[in-house]
Amino acid sequence: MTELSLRLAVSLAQIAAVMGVVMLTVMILTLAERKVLGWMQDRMGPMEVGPYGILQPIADGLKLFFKEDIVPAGANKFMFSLAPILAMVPALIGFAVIPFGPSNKFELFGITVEPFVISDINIGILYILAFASIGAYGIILGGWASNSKYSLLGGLRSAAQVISYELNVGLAIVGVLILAGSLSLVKITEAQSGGFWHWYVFALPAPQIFAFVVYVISAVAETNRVPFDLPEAESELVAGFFTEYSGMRFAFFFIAEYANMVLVSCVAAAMFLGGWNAPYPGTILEHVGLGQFAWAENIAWFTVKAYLFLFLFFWLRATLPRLRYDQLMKFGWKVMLPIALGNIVVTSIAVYLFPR
Amino acid sequence: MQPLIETLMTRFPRAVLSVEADTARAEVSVRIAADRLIEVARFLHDAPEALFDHLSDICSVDYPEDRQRFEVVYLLHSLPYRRRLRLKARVPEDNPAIASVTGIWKGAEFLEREVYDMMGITFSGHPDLRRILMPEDYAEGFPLRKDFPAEGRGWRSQFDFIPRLDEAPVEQTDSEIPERDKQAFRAEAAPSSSRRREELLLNMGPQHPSTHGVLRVVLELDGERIVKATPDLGYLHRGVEKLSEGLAYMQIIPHTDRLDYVCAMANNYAYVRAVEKLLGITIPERAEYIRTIVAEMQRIVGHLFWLGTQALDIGAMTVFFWTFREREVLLDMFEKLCGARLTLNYYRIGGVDSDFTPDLVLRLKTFLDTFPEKVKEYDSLIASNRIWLGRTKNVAVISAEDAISFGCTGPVLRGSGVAYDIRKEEPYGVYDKVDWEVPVGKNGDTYDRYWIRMEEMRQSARIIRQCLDQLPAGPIIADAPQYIPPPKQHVMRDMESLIHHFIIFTQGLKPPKAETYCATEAPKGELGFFIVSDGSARPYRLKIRSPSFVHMGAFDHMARGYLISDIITIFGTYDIVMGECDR
Amino acid sequence: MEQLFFFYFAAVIAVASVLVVALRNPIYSALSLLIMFFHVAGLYVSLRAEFLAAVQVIVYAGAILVLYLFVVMLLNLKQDDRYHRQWPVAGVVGLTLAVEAVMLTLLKGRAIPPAPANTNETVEGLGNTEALGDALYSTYLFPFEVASLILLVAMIGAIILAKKDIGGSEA
Repeated sequence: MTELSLRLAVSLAQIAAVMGVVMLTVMILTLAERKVLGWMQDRMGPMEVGPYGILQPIADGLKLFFKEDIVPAGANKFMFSLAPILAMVPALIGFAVIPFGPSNKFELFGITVEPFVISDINIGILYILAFASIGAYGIILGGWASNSKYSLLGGLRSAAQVISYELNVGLAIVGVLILAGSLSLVKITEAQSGGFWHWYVFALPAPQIFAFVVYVISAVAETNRVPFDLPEAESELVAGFFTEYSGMRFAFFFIAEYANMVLVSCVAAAMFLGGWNAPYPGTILEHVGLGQFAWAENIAWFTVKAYLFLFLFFWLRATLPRLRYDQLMKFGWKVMLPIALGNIVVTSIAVYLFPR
Repeated sequence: MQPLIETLMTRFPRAVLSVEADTARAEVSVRIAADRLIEVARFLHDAPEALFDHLSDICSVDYPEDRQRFEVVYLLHSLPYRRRLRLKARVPEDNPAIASVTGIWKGAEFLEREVYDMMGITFSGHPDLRRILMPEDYAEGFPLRKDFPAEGRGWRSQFDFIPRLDEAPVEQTDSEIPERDKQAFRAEAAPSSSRRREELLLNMGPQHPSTHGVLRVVLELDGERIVKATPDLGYLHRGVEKLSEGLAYMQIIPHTDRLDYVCAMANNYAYVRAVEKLLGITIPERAEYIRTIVAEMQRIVGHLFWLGTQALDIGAMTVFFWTFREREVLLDMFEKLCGARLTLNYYRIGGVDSDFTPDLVLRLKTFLDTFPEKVKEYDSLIASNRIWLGRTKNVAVISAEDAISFGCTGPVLRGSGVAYDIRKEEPYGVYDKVDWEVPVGKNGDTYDRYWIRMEEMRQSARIIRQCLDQLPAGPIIADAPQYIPPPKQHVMRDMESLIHHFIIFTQGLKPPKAETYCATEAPKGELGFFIVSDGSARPYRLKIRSPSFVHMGAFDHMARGYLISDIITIFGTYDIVMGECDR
Repeated sequence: MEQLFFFYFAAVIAVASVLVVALRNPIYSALSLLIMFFHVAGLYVSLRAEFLAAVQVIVYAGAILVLYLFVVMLLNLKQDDRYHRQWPVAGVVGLTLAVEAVMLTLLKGRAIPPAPANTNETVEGLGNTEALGDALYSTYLFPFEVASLILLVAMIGAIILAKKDIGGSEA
């Protein structure tokens, strides 16, 4: 029983650490997005709170925390409260299987601890997909419970969008799964070590470059970001499913959106860009004889890759107009889906012809 | 023009009552019998020698003393022959009814509704004669009649504007709107089909981020497809026309600022031109140049504003900030010029308020040097963007015939391939002394209108540059002591000037007894002022022909069959400003 | 430990299933169904079929149930319209099923059927995903193909039905 409680304690500590990092990233993101957009649009972004506005996220958080919590008349109160939680939990729970660094195991009071992944389950990627699909409930129920036509429309649109593009996300990574022969993110990442030419986006015999593009586009769509931000299209549906939300409940949706962005960025880095592997064989620290600190370099690489993706999200938002609903659906089903399916066929044939 | 009038008189000897030709202002108006209106109008629209295909405006004037109290004025315009004609018909007070011309000009629908709303004249055969600017249940009568007091009759005091806090809130549970009230917004009886049609009425506005002001549209939807779109106007109605009847001519200029509040200069210009036409005064050359430059600056400002908001509606956020960056530079120059940034009040009857300083000319030239680059920058974001093309191409298509029939003007009409630009057709200012082109579209879709406005910005920059190069020295206000207050330094030294000054500022300037219509190419389309003067210091009737209002008449036609998401594109493509639409 | 989890999952599944049909608000029914799906997935996990558990959540909870919700929200069912006096039929069917279940349990007793070729050890060695794939594409290839064919037919049928509706209204 002591072993069990020890395991529990270690897991909880890991969860707390990861949640801390994720929440910190979300905070940084809210500021970074406004700053990056500001620079791209010839303005300063937030400048008031703290030097160069760096304390803005804290101010925003405090504001949202202390705001009056309004439940619209005629809304279903239970659902209205449940929806933000249903949106946030799936977004955060996915981080449990992301390997942030190399799998250095060490013994602690007789149990094995893997410090850089909370749980290496053998269906890791399916687990993430499964919970991502639950995220749609928060949106759809939030839209329905608000008792507003615009919110409902936003919720329904979003549900249709998330389902359509989730399919593409799932199919886009099948190629990688065929190459790796595993569903575990840890194993997939480890299989890509030894330089950037081993990353699945470039790796022979079947470079997953098309799958990567499909994944990135679908991931943007799945997280409801520009140019696929129809569920919350400001100019049409006011703010879509969270029009009626305020205060902390609004903050939950907001955190969920950003946490989802971080999650899909992490998955993209792990699946296609070698995860924590450096773009050269081994690590520099190892070569100079500091092998015990190599994990720091690996984590740095992982962070760089994830942030590159996040930057891409901002960049897209500053550049592109919004698609129309029918165009979005047409694009998802008639362009993305065939490419993803074709990629699976090509990859399968390539792997069959050139087995490793 | 003369042969046409003669044909008219021989063909309709009983209908044509009199012909008034105003040679000084080159205007002709024909008074006809009200019961013969349709046949004359039909002839003027169809006959190859007339071809008055464009209905600029319908206006009404109230003469309480006359036996036939109300006069309905049709301002016709022939695009092929480039000429205008006024058709006037009188109706009596006890039966103020006249036939509707909606069958001839589609655009007449909204215009006739406005006349009905304001003057109480009914149009027999009108498909949907309801109040348009005033509320549906407005109970005070017809505000533009001369016996209606400008401050109203107290209807407003009957209801609370602000809900009272000391009373319990009225619980509105499941407040279904009665079917009768919905009927106005429904399309004609649905075609009989075996398939069950699920139609939903969706209310959009007046509080909605993308309706460009307080515009309400009731959409009838079949799925996400629009079956009928009914604009509900008047939320910003301020009764400018009624107010003007109590103001001296000079006092009206600030009111025109608030019409199209994005492009105040253009409204000023249109108004002072109409008054000058009425007075028959000529403007010094330097003033004409300055007016043209400022009008074109305002056109750039207006189009930049339009581009930013349209792009923002479609989701391209960056364009909005970039356009506002350039708009800011121009607004700063306006501030330098006249002290204001938005409601400028810069034009004066007979000239302008203040002169260009060399510093301003320099700043404007620097701006012009970089501006084409900036336009290219906007284009780099959207002009070849697949999503932008997908959202604008083949959206809100209007054919040239329909655009003309609905009375569309400006970029909306030019987008459909009709090269009608008042600056070319009836040149004013110094537009005939500079070299520029009118961009014309082909398909009449949102993309073409976008392209035209982008091109117009480049042409405006061209015009400004040439004007700056040619800018002559001289006075900036006309020398017409009868109408225009003399310069301050003269007033201080010269007895005669002092008298003129005193007379003008105590009594106001008194134009001759006449009436005139003057159209100006505002950024949004043809902005026209129809002024009836009875020789006093205040206009007897002032009618504003605002392009936004006329364009809203074509809204239903343009929106049908498109998706809800396209609605916001259509709002944007009109470039509507509700201040001008509702007046 | 495993027993404890099994009883927890089984109890929640039973309660949630009853709630699906008993609750008046269709949205609540759908949510009960969601809870049930999750616990079924939990049962799979306790049986070491993680792959199946994930697919259960992705397919049933993530796609099918969302579509249900979609329909429920679009139609906006009034609460009373849901029961079409089906109690007698439901009672008969339910009773038959209950009797069958009792009889089967009594007949088989507590005997555990002989384990198929894939024992826990083979699953551990291969990983359950591969074990499942192996079984599907070798032992059960024919049923698998038949099932996919039926699904294809259903899909084509749905498309034809939907198309006909549009064609009919335009004609």
